[in-house]
Amino acid sequence: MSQHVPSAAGDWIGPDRFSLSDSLAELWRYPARAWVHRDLVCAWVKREWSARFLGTALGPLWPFVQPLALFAVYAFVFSELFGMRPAAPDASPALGAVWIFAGVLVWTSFAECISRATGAFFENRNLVQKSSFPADLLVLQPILMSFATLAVGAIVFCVISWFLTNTHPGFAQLALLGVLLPLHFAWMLGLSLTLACAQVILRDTASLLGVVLTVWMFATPIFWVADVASLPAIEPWLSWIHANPMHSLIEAWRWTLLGESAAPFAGAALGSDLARFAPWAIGALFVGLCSARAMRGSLSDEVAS
Amino acid sequence: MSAHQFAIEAEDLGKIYKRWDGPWSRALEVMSRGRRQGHREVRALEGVSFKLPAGGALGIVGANGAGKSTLLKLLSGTTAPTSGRFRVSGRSASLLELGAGFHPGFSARDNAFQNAVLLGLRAREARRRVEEALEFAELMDVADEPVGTFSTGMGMRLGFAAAMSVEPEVLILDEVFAVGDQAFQKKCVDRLAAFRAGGGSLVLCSHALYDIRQMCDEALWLDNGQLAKAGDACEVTHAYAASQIAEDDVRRVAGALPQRADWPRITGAEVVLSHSGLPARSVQTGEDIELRVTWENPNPVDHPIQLGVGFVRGDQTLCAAAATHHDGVKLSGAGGVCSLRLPRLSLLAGTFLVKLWLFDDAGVFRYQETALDHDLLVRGAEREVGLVRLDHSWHLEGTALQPNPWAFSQPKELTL
Repeated sequence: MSQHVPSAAGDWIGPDRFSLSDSLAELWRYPARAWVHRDLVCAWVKREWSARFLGTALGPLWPFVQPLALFAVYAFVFSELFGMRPAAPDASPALGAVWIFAGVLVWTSFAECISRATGAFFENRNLVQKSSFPADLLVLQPILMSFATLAVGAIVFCVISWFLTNTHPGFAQLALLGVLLPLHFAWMLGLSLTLACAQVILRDTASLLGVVLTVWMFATPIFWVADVASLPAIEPWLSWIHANPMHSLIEAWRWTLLGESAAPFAGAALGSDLARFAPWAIGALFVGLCSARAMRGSLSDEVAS
Repeated sequence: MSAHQFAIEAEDLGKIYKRWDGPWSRALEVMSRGRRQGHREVRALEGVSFKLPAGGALGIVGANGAGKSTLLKLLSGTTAPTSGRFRVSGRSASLLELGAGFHPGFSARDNAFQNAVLLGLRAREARRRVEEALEFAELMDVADEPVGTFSTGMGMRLGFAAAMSVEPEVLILDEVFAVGDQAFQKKCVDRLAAFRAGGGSLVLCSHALYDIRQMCDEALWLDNGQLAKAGDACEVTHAYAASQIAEDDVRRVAGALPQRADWPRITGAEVVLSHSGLPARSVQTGEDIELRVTWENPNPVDHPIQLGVGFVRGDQTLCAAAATHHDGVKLSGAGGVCSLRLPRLSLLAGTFLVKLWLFDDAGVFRYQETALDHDLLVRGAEREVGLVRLDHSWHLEGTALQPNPWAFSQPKELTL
């Protein structure tokens, strides 16, 4: 019977009590659970991937079309219409568009993931109520989906930016993916679990999140440069901007995707972006795991009411 | 199979659901750290203990809302108990709803695979079992069609087959153990019998007491979240069935009043024999009887009423009924006696509950639903079988037979 995933059969199961040490243990129990149920998570991602293209003619080409269209729009609007140029005089004009594109890719994958993950428990309430499975793994589906789209986007990005600006990812920065990716994942997982739990209790969460994401997007230097030389008006807000975890995350990705070519825009180095982002990611992960742990025993009751 | 002696042990299991009036009262409770209680507690289950021996089958009976589904949800692990504890030994699978989580856009094969992985199979194993499940559900030729195009029956067959494909050691079923048409239901029952023969343990919740008796050794009767009776399946189901009938008695004319004082009501009802005018509790097939219903209507202008009478057999079959609005009769005035004359009673031998309804003018809303204080015992004189006697005669090749000497027209000549 080794073909079955191991379960807790045989243990006494009593009232679900929340404790902090239990939540801390989730730091390794959650990944362990995900590993044990890897086939289930894979099946969810595969299904979602094909569900997204179910009945479409272009099918798997769509993930490529989306970033291409995005790039075309942003390059036109910001590079041509707004005339945004890098502060450094020797940088190519197309670099501005590529730089924005990199930010848009990361933001889009983040926003898409968070909005989908918010409904991960509530939208699947039928499953949560009627089947016994580790429901907290449900958020992995939108997260892995968003990393998949980010990966596709990154490939498209590298090809475009190489053609247009002759830039390529910095090899030193690529090596730091080993740090960036886990932190990025922790950030998404923590936020997703927190929001998914919040949505179960308060159905306003999803609507509220839509508003917050819009404000957040414009407050994050995606389409503009957090540089006093090119935008003098932002000076009093600089500390706020640097406290924004999405700013650090996007900057880190820009460093990774553009290498040293990002230097004309970016104020700091990749290492300091990662250092600013890490506490956010770890904090979010902890809050998320605590929320999910606290909700586990009553999740199926809460989604019903 | 499990080395444990018991498949399921439950000790003092309880479940309290919290109901909040709204998000604000809930937020207030969290903010005040529980000093301001914003929720009501709904006690769904309390102090339920039992042991199911490995390889045994346990039936769960009880009225709607008695806690059956809550107990199954606890045992299947979809929700945690709020008190007590339980232990399930061996791999368990629960089937609380057929096809929960099926995606209508995906093929039967995809959905069955997803279901098997959800229930804990490894992908490779799941792929093999899915083919068996499709075979069992007789859906091989439509395996790649989207489930959304399936008929309800096909969907249920797939759901059952997919769930059974996991081959658990402990199976928990909520009302779903035989689906589809008669032939497929037989297949389902055979499959469950094979499961039990192979040493599997079963927990089954059903309203069909017959099935519980057939399939289970032991049964629990839940009443208002508490264990009303536990033990041998036959004993428990009979006790439960008896309680249902006893509950019926409560609502009879003697004690039953309408919900509001100004509503019309039935104050008395009796069966009398037409020829003597004497009340009777037992009558004979073919006799002329009358049902006399005394009624009051404090407000006949606002509440015009109609009277309905029904004869209900023990298994809840409504055998015959009559109603004033069907026959164009009106009960006007503030009260009176309404007699329903039934010449040559055609009901055959049996015990009948005589139900009485006071309807509104349209015959839709029921002001009162009650029943005669005593069941009507009909003694049969004929050797005929069935529910009612149809007015009939036999003919052979166009020649009318001699009239039957036992015919209805001469009931008084009968001797018992």
